[in-house]
Amino acid sequence: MAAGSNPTRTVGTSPRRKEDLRLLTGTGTFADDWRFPQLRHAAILRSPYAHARIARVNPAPALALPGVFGVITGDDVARMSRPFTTGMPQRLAYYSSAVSKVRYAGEPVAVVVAESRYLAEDACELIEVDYEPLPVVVDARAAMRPDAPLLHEEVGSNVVNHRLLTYGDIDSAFRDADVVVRQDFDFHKYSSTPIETCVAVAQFDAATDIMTFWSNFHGPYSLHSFLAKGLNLPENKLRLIAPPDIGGSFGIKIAIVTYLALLGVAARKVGGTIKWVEDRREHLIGLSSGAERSAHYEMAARRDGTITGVRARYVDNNGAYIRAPEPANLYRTTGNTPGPYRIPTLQIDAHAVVTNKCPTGPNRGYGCQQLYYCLESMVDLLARELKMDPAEIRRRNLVQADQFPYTTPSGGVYDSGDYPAGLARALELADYGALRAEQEAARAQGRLVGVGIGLSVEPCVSNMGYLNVAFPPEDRARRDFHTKSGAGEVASVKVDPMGRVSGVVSSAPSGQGHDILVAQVIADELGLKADDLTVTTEMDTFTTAWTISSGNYSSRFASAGISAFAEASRKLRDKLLTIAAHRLQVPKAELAVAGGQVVHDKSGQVLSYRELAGLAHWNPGALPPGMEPGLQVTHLFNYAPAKVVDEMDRVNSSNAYGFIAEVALIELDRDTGEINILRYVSVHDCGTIINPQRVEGQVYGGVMHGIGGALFEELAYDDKGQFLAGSFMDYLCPTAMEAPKLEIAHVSVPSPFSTLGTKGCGEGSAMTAPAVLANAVNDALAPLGVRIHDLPLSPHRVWQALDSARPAARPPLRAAPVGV
Amino acid sequence: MKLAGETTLPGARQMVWDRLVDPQVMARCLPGCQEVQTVGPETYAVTLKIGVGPVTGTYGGTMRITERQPPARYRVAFEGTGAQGFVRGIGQADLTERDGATVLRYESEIEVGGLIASVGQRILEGVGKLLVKQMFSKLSAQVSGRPA
Repeated sequence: MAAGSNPTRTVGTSPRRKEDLRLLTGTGTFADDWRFPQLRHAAILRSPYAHARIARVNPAPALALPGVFGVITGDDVARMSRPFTTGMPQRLAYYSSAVSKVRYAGEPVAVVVAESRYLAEDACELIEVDYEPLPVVVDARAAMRPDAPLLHEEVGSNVVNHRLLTYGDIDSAFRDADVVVRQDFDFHKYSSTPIETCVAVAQFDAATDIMTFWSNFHGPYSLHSFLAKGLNLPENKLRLIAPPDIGGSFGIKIAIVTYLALLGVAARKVGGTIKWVEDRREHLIGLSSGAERSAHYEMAARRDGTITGVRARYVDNNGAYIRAPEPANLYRTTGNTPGPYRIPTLQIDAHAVVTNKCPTGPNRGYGCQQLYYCLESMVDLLARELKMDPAEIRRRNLVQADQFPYTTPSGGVYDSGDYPAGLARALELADYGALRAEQEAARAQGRLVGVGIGLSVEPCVSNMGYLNVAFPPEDRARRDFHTKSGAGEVASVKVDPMGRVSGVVSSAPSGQGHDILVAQVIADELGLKADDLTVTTEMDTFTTAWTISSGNYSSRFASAGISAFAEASRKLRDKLLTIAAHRLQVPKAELAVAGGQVVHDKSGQVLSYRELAGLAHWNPGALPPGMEPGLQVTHLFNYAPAKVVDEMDRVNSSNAYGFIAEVALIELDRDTGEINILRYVSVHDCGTIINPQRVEGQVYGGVMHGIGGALFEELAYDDKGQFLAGSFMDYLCPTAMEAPKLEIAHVSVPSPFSTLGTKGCGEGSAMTAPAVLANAVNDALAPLGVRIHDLPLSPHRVWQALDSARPAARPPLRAAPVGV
Repeated sequence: MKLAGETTLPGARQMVWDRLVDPQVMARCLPGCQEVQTVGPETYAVTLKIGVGPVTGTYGGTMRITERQPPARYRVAFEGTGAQGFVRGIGQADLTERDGATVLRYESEIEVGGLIASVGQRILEGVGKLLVKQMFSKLSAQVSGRPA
């Protein structure tokens, strides 16, 4: 038996979930469950105006209330913290609260610290703030006009970042094209609304200068540096602690970091241990969302359907401030700009624009839902123009299986895949031919039935190097430029003195169940049962080993995290085998691990882990000469292909690239505009599957977030910048009732760059579903000669499209009654 | 939000006008009105307690008569703030006589900010119409002399 092989492998199976008992019996430990002595409570006063100068803040009436410990205003924030760093050349002052001016409705204006939250809320109402309202701009295109109200006077423009990225001879591609299709798109503002809102507890120890936060943050990775700089603290004085249970994040909770900074100022000024729990309205109005994008696309192609070039203009609406990692919504997709297609020339004209809305950030799929919604709509438009089947035109342009690793013109290195097989599997599962026949029959009856196809390349494990695309090459060439690259993750595995094995995760997972995946991988590598392992996911930046890129973002755990655990386990296995070889006086190569022991098949001798651990811990003198005592390994895994951006703006922006092929069948209600999803097929390639149940969970979650974004959810504002979606009555999330039955399949091609061949799948369908559904809706509308290129696909919007296609002789609408 | 409509009040136009511009009458007619004080020429300090759906708040602010054409038209501008946000806007009322009664046409443009805007937008217009209805019903009672 070869070392490491294990007849009872658990990778590829779905062991029982360990968290269910505590979650279902209400005994989990979420951030709000932590108890602290003499806790103080914070409430945040927020601006009712979208844009206004703050003429005066008078906290005196609040301070006069018994039980109020202190009030923090913009002056305190400006005095006691520094503006956050932005990942772009243009600096703009962004603090954790408004300082002298508010720039979005819901922006923090003051914080009250009191003996209870009730009291703090009441005291907030007593703070007197005089606002001088300023003109408001909420639309990014309007904000780009020279006469638009300026958000940041010191910048002089609302366009705060701009890059023109050109890959290949784009002009020739368009000059020589047989056909060019053009289209504008509007992608709206929505979030993935984690079920648990933000929680933060801050404490500043004046004796040691250590600031500690207990929080369900999403990180820590570079946010730790970001927060340390903002609070003017050395990094070794900033301690972040995450609980074992976090109720979702999807990137949205990254924004908690600015609230940590605000509470940090409060903790410094007022003292004590201060807690803030975000309520749902605060979450919706004041945390984060994906960026809106107004895009213009042009696609050049030959008559046979071969795509030869794509030009795109991105205008991202980033809200009132650029909060790291923004403006990366523009750049995270750099390497995978062409999606799954062999498109030789690309040009991206990227703009980050500030407006009087809440700032944006990563939202499950970061940058990809915008990318694929537009790109996949363009492919359908091209198919329509060339009178080709949308499946056939995709097939003709796909990267082929023998081309991997495939380098895109923009620098992406697609590690593995078989896109034609993935598309074929999706079409087969959907019975595409039969769907089209069904559609014909339905159309003959006057029904509006549509079939939509959407493909995406799912970028996993961001290479931090892509952040530098926000800077022009001349900036990046400067000697003092902070060049970034890398995609590391740390794993710690240890064998205790009794021979039992534990793992410590540094990703601060938010409900994905990283612990069971880790248990499965360690178990397989060390010849154990997954149930025998203990895996800790609580995070403490002072005691857990982590790296600047640690965290559960960019679908990185199954690839980067699992690789780190596999490598750490192998190092540990090697040490166990080395000790055993020394003890048994046999060659190490003849030994294997199985069933919690090291086995020498030839002689039939075995040494249990308990015996080996006993030596390593209790009797180091018996170890091979020179060997370090103990049995623990901390391994830092880094992806080799995570290189810096080159002088041509090419960058391998991620390190693993999954593939998704989806097909949906929908029907539109002619009278109401409602969209009914009749079928939804989802085929994924996430490389080696560690735990099929966890992958299925990710597919369901991704599809539901995608459906929510495409059909229901919108963080709507009026033209005065007033936020209109402050509760779940106003912000409509899909429920189980709206969930279609998913038909899921996998075409897995292991990655050559991760230890076990894994890729990611955490964002997946969230980036594809809007494209799939939009294509299906437009396919359903095709006989009427109308199309929709804006989201969300609300019944109202669909109804308007249906209405615009109705004959002019339609019955007049009944006038709405006015007045009393 | 725009509110517009008309209502018929019993009584001659001049009498309706007199009631309409009498701060003490308005204090009785404005829904949730706690206080009306004259603070300057054509300017009144008003305190209102209004509930929109789950959000009840007290708003303090000023109402200014910006145009006065007795007994046919007047225009007002108002603004108020409270812990739950702000409200501001302009309104116009036109009075004409018809069959011995007075027809009051009104138009108003109202901007609401803060909590009410973010959680009450769906019902704001309905609440606005309801408040207007309550106000005219009280005014009607004041004009006719019936108890409100």
